[in-house]
Amino acid sequence: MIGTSRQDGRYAGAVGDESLWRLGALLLVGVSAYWIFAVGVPLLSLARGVGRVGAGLEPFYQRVVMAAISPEVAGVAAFTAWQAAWSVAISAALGLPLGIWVGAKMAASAPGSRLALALLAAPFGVPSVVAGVGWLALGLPFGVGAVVAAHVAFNAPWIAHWVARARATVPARQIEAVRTLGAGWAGVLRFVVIPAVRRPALVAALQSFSFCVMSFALVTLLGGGPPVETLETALVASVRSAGLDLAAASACALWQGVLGLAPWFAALLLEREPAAATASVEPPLQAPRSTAWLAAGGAALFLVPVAATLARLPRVAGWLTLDGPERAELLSAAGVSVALAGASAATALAVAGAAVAGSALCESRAPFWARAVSAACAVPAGLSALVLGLGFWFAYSGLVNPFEGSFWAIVTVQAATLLPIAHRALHGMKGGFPRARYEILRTLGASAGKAWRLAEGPRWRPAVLVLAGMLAALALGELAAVTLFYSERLVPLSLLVARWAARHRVEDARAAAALLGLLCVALAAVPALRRARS
Amino acid sequence: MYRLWIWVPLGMSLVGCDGKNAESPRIPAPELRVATYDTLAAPGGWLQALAQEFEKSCGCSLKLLPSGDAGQMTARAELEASSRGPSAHVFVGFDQNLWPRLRHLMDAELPKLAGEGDLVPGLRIESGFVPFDYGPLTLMADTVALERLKLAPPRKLSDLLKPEYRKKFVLQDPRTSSPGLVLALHTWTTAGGDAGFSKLWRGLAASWLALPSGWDEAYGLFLDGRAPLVWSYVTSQAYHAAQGDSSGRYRALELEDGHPVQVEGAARLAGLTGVERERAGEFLEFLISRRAQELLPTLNWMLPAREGLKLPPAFEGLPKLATRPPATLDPSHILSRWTSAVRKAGSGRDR
Repeated sequence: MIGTSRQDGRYAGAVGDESLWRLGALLLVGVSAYWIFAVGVPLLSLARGVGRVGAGLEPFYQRVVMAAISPEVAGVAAFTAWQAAWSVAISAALGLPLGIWVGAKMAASAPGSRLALALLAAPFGVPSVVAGVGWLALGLPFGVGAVVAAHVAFNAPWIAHWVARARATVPARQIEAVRTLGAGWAGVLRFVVIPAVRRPALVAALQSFSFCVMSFALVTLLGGGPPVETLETALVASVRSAGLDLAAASACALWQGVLGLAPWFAALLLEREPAAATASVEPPLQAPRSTAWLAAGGAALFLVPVAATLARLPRVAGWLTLDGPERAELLSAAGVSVALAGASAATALAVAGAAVAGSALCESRAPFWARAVSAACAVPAGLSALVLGLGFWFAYSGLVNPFEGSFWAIVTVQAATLLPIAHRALHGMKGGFPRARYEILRTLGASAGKAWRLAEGPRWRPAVLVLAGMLAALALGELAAVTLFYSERLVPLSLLVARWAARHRVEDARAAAALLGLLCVALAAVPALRRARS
Repeated sequence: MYRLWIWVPLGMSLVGCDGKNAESPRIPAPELRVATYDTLAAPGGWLQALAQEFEKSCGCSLKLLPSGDAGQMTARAELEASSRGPSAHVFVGFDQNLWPRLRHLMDAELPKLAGEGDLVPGLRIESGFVPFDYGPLTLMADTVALERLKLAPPRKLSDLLKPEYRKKFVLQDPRTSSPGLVLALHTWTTAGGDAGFSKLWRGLAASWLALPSGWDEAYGLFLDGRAPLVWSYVTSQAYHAAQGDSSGRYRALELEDGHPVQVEGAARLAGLTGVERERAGEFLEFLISRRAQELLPTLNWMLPAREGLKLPPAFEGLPKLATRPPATLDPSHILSRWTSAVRKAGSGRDR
């Protein structure tokens, strides 16, 4: 096989280098410390803090349990799971064939296939509020149907993306061999393609279920309000305006934890035995006979709502050419947004990268620790940013005054919420360690750390680049952490959109949302396209 | 090394959680800190416009603390009171329905403020609550759209239950929006008790186009032409007039069942002493001064709490609505009845 050797693969102690084990342990200590700081302590403080607010006759935990099993909250949990299940089922029905199609074109190096893959990744980086505004502009009728449709537009390309990547690595020789034995296209699909893409498809579907459980902006914008209500919207309703019902909010958070985390842990279990060589794409047996422009067009369809939002961009261009107050506000907000998004994405990447590399290096000597860190990285997937931010606020309010604004508080909370996605995306890097290259470098006199860096760098760099863009795009649209820790000097675009909308400036707000959408698409798509070109 | 990583953040959090007396504000002395909702503190907002003037008159420094919307500001004050102690001396922008949640944190014993005698009667709902603006709420109509649909404007709220208004109006979620809550409480008093209230809301839930979580989203749908009717402030008509709506396309409707009023107020934190206490009192007085009140209408699009002021021309054409005096009801029971009525209405979810 090209690009890998028989000896390559998982670290799993095969390296047998004491320095590497020490490096791995150091990385895991760093990740553990971050997790305790950004997730563990805030959760503990939140549990203690909310117990003190609005204390009633019964103990707080008793009120939470009563609220969790009440028909209201249990009904919302059931509806949340129901809409998520429908969204995922439809997404899988669309994403699986599309992914196989794009993957087949990629395997054949068909022109346009890399663009199709990049386009499939792009919707995931678009903030849900930007997509929601786009759906509204398209005139989608309110209701659960609209929510499911919008979820599908996010999740179907996400599933297709992972399926395409898996399908692209299916060796052409294997397909030829099955054909030689008399199998038609159905046989190839059944005996070769489906077994190869089944696991990534299932993992992506499980993650999509979790995203739908945590969904807020799309449900708020497109559901049309109660009775279309998910756990996240019910949680927000419990802590805003009319009453501060922290028992009900905690009950919603509890359900969210269960429904949101279960799929991630299931995905982790599925990934305990990663594929041996994920990066081994064979050259096609023959020159490409077809192009993938149609597949790219199919992938681009999922970006239609974003395009509808971007249609307001001319208004932004008008502001930027004039020296008015909008220009100053907009440029300042865009600068803050990009700085926050860059720092959050970098932090999430650093922690996730350290977790993946550390657990790979320590897997043989400290398997429990390595698995515990992997599991801990998935925990924020079951927590809303609001819950995590509130916990952070309780934990560190002695150090961070929320009214003064705190750049690093926003970054820490955002990075924690991005951690499961970053960790999941890098998880595949555990396999495919270029051991031969590493040993040659060691023989040539490089230290363990340097040899590891030089051996792994080329393999990690492209994946990290694409992921960084996607994470930054996700952070750009985040609002929960921002509303807890912003100040007048720290107003990002997402907040400016909300602020202008609240002052009757609806058209201005939508134009600012278009700028936000443009930045997100650029951040998510440009690295992916650069990678595709290279 | 390993222990250090764990204990440093843990120790810091314990200081943050437990080291504070919940009742004592931790405020630097020379600065007056005012918590308010975003749009009042943002550039172009009413308080932002007044800040310099107040600083000049008191010879002190004023710091505005924007805190999201009024509900978030209230929740933050409650949470702060249970952890680090309130950060502000003065809270500005809660309404009469949020006031019961803040009342126990605020100073109920305000001295008589200059200008207090000129306030619109009925707005000073309780001792400690200083009203600075108010706005009757009603249905705003896009008359051009109604005409196109050959629909007469509704004359009372229950008209919205008629089939011709199905999907033609937008209200707000009373759990997350203050105008929405004012409407829910208003219907509780006008619908004749629990049964009438539940029936009305079951019908409305089956008929509204959407129930967004905030006023801004609801008004966005209205301006987009998605619905010709929206629950809003009577002063929205003044906003459109100021923006050049000379034909009266956007009109505040007069409803036979009366109009609820939202009163926004300010209050001084309890437990302040000395200069801080004095300055906070001066600031409350400044908010209802003639100068501040004259600036309010076009900066916050509400009616000033002070009587006898000359209003900007855009406000002159506003209808004189039959308002109901603001009441301070306990929203929790009413909202629980509301939730149950609305959930019953939506058994099919996809309306």
